Amino acid sequence: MKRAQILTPWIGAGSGTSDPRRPALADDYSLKSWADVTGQPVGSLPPSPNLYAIEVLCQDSVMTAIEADANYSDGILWSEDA
Amino acid sequence: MDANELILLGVGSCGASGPVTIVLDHFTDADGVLLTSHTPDASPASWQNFDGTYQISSNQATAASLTHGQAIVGINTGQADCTISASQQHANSQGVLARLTDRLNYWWMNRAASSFVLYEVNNNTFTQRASASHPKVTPETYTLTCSGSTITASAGSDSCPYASASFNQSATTHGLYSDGTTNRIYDDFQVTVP
Repeated sequence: MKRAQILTPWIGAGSGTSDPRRPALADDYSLKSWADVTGQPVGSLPPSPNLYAIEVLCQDSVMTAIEADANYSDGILWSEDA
Repeated sequence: MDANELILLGVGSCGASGPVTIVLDHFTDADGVLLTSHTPDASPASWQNFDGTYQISSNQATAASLTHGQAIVGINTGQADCTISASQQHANSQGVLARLTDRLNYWWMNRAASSFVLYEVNNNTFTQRASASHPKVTPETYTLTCSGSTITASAGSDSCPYASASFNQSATTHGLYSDGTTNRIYDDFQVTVP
């Protein structure tokens, strides 16, 4: 298991549970857990540029896939064994 | 009678440490009684509808009608920093609410298909702030713990904290949410303070 902080864009319009504001990374990968660590107020979302940090817990294989994904690889702030 | 009920009666509270129950509702009442007409086992206030209605069914609580596609009910506990929990079935789109001010503004722990999600619902904009994968267990107790600007959603051994929960930080009403259907079932609603 790996723990990491990773930059991801916000996606979603926030219109109910069918299209909530959420991290793109959590749509793209199966994460054990994640939490927004940037904490930007709702009134400032999405930010410009559209990036924020979430802390994730995931399987090693998922972390390997994220590291190889050009959409996220440059945005891995840190990672460690969990 | 469990330990929390004894504390409510003043038994064992002298010198005792640990959480104190300020709201407890096993929803023991006749079928069809609206929650707003039902008296909790212990509470500083009555249930209040914010959208739709809830009723008693087989000594549990379930939404009786929806308004704006949802049913929201809450109790003003007088406490913003507390732990809110309820036993619920595994149907999606239900969960406990915290720090509710009206039908458009609250924190919600939503039971999703294979996870639970902490939502900040701010002026009716739904923002996911944290999530944890979690297998469905029927029934299971879901918990929101509010402490200052940190709100933690948890079930079983899984949890996800969000540490920037300044929205509605001083709101003292907590309750139940059902989204899109009336067949969500709750039992054993409880609010404790440290």
